Amino acid sequence: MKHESDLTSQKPAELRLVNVTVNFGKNPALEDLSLIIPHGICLAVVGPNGAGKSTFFKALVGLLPLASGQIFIHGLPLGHHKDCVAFVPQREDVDWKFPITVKDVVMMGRYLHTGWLRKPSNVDEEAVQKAMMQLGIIDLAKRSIHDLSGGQQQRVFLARAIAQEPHILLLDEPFTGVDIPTQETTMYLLEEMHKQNVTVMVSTHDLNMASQRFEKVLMINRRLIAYGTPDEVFTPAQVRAAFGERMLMLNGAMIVDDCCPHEEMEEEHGYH
Amino acid sequence: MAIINWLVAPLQYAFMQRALIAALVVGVLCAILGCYVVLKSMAFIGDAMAHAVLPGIAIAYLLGGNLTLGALIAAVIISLGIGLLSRQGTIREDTAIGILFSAALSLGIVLISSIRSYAVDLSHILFGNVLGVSTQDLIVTIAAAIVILMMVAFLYRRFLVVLFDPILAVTQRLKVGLLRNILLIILAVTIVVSIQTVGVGLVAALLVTPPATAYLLTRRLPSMMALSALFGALSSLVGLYASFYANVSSGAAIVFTATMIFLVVFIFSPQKGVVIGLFKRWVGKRQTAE
Repeated sequence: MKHESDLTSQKPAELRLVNVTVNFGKNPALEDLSLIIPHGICLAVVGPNGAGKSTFFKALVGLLPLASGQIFIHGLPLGHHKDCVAFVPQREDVDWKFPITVKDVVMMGRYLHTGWLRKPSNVDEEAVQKAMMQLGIIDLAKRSIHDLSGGQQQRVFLARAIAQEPHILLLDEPFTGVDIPTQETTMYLLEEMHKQNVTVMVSTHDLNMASQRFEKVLMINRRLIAYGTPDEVFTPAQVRAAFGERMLMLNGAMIVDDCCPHEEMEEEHGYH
Repeated sequence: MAIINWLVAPLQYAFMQRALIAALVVGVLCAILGCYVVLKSMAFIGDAMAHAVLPGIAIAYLLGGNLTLGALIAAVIISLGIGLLSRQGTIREDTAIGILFSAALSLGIVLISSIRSYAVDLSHILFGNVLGVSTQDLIVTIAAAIVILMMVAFLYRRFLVVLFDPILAVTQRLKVGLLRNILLIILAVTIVVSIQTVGVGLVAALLVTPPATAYLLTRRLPSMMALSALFGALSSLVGLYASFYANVSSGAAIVFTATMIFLVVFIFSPQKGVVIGLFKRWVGKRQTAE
C-alpha cells in the first residue's frame, strides 16, 4: 500500500535513543541507553552473551516494549516513521519446518511495496530475482527452506532484506554458525548496502571482524560501555568492563573467550 | 450399476443429503483452518476451545437462548482467557490451556447433568449427530464457512507473515495481536459449526489430521491447504457412507477415515514417509559396506 516514492523520497534514517530501558521479565536487559546513530553508517554491536544485543535490535523494531525512554527514527517516535527497517533474525528464531519456498520468503520482503492483496508487479518480480541472484540462491528458488544448509538459509533472509529496499538493515549474529563463503558474501553485501547509504547494524561475537571491517562499534553489557570508532572502543579498560573475566591480556594482545552465542537469554520471548 | 445404486441409495433420504453437505463443508473448512493449527502447534488450543463450548451450550439452554450462540461466546471467552492467563508469563501456555479446558468441560457436564429434562442427548454433543442436521443448521454452517474462507483469502498474506515471521510482521507495521485474535475467533467459529458433525470430542481431529497428512506431501502453504481440503472432504464422504452401511457413529467414522489416510501417507509419502526413510537408510548402509 506504500508506494515506492513514499519510501525513498525520505532522507536516510537517523536513529536516536533517549534513556532507553528494556526489561526482560522483571530484570532490565538494557538500561538507560542513550545514543545517536547517524544515517548511513556501518555499525557493529558487540558485548558478551546476555549483554542485550538481540534485545537492543528487537526494541529498535518495536518487538519488545520499552520500560522507559524513547526511540526516534528520523525524528519520529517508533511506529510513526515511514522508513523501512529490515531485520535478519538469528537462524534459531526462524521456523524452518514451515512449508514455504525460498522465493516465497524473498517475496515477503516486497509485501509492503506490493500491498497485501495485489499480485506482485514486474518490479517486485525483478527485485526478488535480483536479490536471489546477488546471493547466489537463484537455483534454489523453488526449494523448501527446510532442505537448505545453514549458509543457504541465511542467504535467503539476506536476499529478503535486500528485496525490502530498507533504509535501516539489522542483522542479528549473521556470522555465527555459517560457512566462510556465506560470511564473506554477507560482509560484501553489507558493504554494498553501505554504499547505497543504508544504515547497517550488525550484532556479532567476532571482535576481530568488528574492529577491522566496521566504521563504528557499539559495545554494551546491559548498559552502554563504549560507542565510537573501533580504536576508541577496543581499549583494554573498556573491553574488560564489558567482558570482565573473559578477557585476558597476553603480550599486549587482548584475548576474549566468548564463544557460546547460543545461550543468549533473549531467545525465549513468547514469539513463536 | 450395483456400485451406483450403493452410492445413490443413502441419498434418497433428505437427512442423508443434508448430512453429506454438512460433513463436506465442515470437513473442508476444518482442513483449511487446521493448516494454521498444525503449523503453529495450536492443536491443544483447538481441543480446549471445543470442550469449552459445553458450558456455553448448557447455559444457553438454561436461559432459553440460541445454543450455537452460547457455544460461540464460550469458545471466544476461553480463547481470550488462554491468552490472558499465559501472557502474564507466570503460567506456561499449555498449562493455562490444560486448566481452562478441563474446568470448562467439568462445568459443562455439571450443568447438563443438572438439567433433568434436557432434550438433547449429551452423547450428541460429545460425539456429534450429523444425521440430525436441520435445514437451518445447514444454512448457518454454509454461511459461516463462506465468510471464514473469504476472510482467510483476504488476510492470507498477513496471516502468513504473522505466523511465519512475527518480527517481519512488526517491521511491516502489521497489527500482530489483532491478527492473532482474529485467527483465534475464526477458529472458534469453525469449531462451533463443526460440533454438530463430529462433536466436542472429535473436532480437534478434523482440525489436525487432514492438514498433518497434507504437510507430509507438500512444501508450500497453498498446496498444503488444497490437499488438506481434499483429504478432509474425502474423510467426510467415506466416513458418512461407512456410518450409513455399517451403522456406526458418523463422527467417529469420519475421524477414523482421516486417520487411515494419514497412516497410509505417513508410511508411503515420497518425501517424508517411513518406507522411503528405511529405503534410504538401507541404500546408505549398502554404500558404506561397499
